[in-house]
Amino acid sequence: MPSEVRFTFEGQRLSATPGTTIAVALDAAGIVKLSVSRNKHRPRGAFCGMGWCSACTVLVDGERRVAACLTPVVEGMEVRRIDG
Amino acid sequence: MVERTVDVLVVGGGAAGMAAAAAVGRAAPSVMLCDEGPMLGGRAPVGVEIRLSTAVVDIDSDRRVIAYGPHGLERIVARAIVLAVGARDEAVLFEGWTLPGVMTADAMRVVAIPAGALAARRVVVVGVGTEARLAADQAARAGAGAVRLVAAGAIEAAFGSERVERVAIVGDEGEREELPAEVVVLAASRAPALEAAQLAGARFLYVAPLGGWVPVYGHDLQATVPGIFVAGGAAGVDAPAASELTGRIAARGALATLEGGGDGGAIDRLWTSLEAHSTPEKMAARALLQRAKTDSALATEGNTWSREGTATGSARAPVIRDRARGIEPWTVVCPCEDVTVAEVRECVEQGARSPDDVKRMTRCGMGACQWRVCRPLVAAEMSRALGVPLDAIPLPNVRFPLRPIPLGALAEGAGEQEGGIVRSVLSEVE
Repeated sequence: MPSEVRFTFEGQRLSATPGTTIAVALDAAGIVKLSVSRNKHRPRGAFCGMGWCSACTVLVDGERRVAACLTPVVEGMEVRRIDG
Repeated sequence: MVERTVDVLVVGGGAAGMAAAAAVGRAAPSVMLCDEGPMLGGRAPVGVEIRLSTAVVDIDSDRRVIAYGPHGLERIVARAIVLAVGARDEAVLFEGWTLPGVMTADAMRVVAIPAGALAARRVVVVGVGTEARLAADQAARAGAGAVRLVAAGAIEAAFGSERVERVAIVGDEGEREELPAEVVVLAASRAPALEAAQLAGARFLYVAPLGGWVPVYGHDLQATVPGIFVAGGAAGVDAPAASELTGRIAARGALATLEGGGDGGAIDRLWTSLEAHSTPEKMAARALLQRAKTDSALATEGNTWSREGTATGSARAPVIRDRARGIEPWTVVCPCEDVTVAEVRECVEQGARSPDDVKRMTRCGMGACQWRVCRPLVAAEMSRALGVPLDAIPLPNVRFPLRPIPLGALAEGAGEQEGGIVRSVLSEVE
């Protein structure tokens, strides 16, 4: 297994330890705003860490909506915020 | 859609679910354990088929389950189900609590600490109990620059543009203090996760020492729905050792369902151990839950509330009183839909008496979290506005799917057989 995996968030190139979740990898890079609320577009971050609050829902590879706190980063993953 | 029949389905791979799976894995021919997370908390139990990154999105009183995982939807019919879906840290209402950087103690443990994000940071822990002290200790060991414990009633606001930058605290004498903080950890109260048991049709009782609403269960931890057992935090908030013991009790109960009969002596011995690892208040609350199983006047229907609470003694639900500090009317209660305290109060003034009334008027609870975050906040706000105990505020309805699933997955599950998923959704809409 490689010592790190590379991925992008909002186009920014980042790397993470294999097996870490998207939420952990982003927090380690100083990124805590993972989504915005539907109506007023207020910033939201990882809140529950256990997959039940949906506040950390992100768009992976342009098609899958996943909980960043439950989804491991894989090589080449493109992660984006869902804007409202 | 794939359909499977198993003897025992364990939902949740935490301490209780793992203990239950380990106990039934050797004894029952087919046992499945599913968990929403990508990995288990320990070594996989022998004789158990594991489904990771898999969420239960539907469950009914005949123990028919729909799970959604990496390979799409799967229908699982189980002879017995152990719901070990855990307890959750509850949100605390103050201005700015929805900002990034404000998180539950669970999130601190699984996101912020593994990310190294507490190093040299100023951390405020909200709460005064065991959970809060544990969280504060963990934050300090993770290298936090400063850790401060604040009671839930004393935190007034968190401020920041894109993330929390500082918090305002009000002391006992009313003195106001602002301090810089990059992380706010919510560890004031925990409550059982209810939704799966609600969807299965279980009855509930409000027992404060176990975290509020808890499924009513018998000596074998069987809920009011035959063949459905609860364990761990989902059966009441308690110490980790107690969670594991309830997992083992539920496993014995599930095995007895399969075999008809079972070893009642083993369950008695496990209850004796549980007593040693729990507290008198929690054990009294468990006794009340067992009484409620045979006395249906004591407990409510999970999805159709019709009566006021009757819990007694230390288990009684509190009336939420006004706090010493004020809550600004624009404070958000529903972070998915941006519904505010003022909107909830307005609903109550216009006659709303249940969270579902508030939902119909404001969309509160209709976002992706489906009430999981905002329900306790709305219930507390309604209790305060109406002057009634928390157990007089009904639980909101719970519907399929328990987790967001793509419409494409539903379409794939349709048309293959009578009673496909889309058909179920359509019957729900009617």
